[in-house]
Amino acid sequence: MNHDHAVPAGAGHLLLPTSLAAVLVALLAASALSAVALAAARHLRARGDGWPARRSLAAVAAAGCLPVALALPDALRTPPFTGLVVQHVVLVVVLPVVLVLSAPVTLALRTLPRRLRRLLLAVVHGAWARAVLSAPVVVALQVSGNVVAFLTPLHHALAGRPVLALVLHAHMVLAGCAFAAFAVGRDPLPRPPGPRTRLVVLVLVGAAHDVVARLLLAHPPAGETLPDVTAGAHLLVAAGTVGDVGLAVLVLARWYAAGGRRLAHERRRAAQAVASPPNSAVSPRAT
Amino acid sequence: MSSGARRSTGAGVLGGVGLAAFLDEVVFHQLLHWHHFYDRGTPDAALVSDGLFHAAGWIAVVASLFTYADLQRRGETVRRRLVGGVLCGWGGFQLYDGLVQHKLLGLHQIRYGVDLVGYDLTWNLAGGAALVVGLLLVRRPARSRPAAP
Repeated sequence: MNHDHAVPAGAGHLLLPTSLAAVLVALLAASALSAVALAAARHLRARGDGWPARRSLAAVAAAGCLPVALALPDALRTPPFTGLVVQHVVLVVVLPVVLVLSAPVTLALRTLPRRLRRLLLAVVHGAWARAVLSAPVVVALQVSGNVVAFLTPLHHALAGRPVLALVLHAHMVLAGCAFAAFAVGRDPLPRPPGPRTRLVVLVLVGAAHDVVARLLLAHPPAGETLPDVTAGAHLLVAAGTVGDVGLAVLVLARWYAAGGRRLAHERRRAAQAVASPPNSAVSPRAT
Repeated sequence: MSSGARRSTGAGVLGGVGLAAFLDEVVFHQLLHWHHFYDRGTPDAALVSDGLFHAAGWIAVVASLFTYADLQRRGETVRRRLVGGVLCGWGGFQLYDGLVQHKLLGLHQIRYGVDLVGYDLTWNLAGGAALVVGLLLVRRPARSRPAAP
């Protein structure tokens, strides 16, 4: 948190607050959010609906990303730019993925009171949700956040304007959520994409991380030290690669499992078709 | 059957491109330290191309493995197409890397402080040979075995 004084014009301005008070507030918020998610899941189970425990676990993990992101830069004693990348990785790579794996919209729709449920339904069925959750928009949102945050001089303009910095962070987290929901989300999508579309989106977003990291090394932002930018860029590439490959494995594992179910179904039907003709010849109802 | 042949080729090409991109990174960048993933003074177009292939290579390997697993469980793998596809993808990527990325776009050279002609010739000829053999394997019709010597 004292880094800002050492590099007046650097990306340290974009760092979210890392003071003990901020971490405690985030911890409180995360506990409250986890409690809400767990209570909703318990309500469903008490009603007799199934709700997998791993979804609740994912919801708690997503909430836990908030205090972790604030605490990590100081805990790891990272220089300011690397600290920014660490926060970015936790909030924009990890948080959205575990959040969409917890199926938050489905949980809300099943547990909210009727009026709120109607409101939420109107939002998720609306033209906006449809537009945001399409491949080109998902990629554009994700890439634009990255480029603006790491490559443009905008972060200089955000110096001393914590509200605007927070808006940029919120934009990136929401863009990450749209991307994660599109790629691997558990909630139903307005127009569910096929595995090929999902993989193309993954390649483009992963490539954006790689390209941004390489451009960072080519044109280090003013006010940063070279070792700091180098470490940050390598972390960006590594986290982008691990996240991207993990998501691709998830997409393809689901495709493989769905294919297996289809194949088993086809084989059952083929076996029935072989077995049934003698039966149908005997049965008078077969005609 | 023809879908199995087509998908075998596809799985091979994806795997070949991915493996070539992966080995290029691991062997030359990280084990031999001949070149780095970024050299100062590299044009931005080359960086974009390099970044795209780095991201796509990993996902290509994963997609290739899952497609292969699906072909195997259906018993539809056509091995010659698969091998031909791998050689095509491998050679094609190596030629692209050697000719477009290194020469046209001016990305890093293969190695520094040595005469490059031998390295360039070896790299591109090996890629070209793999591509030609792969194309021959893929294009040969599946059921003309007796016609071959």
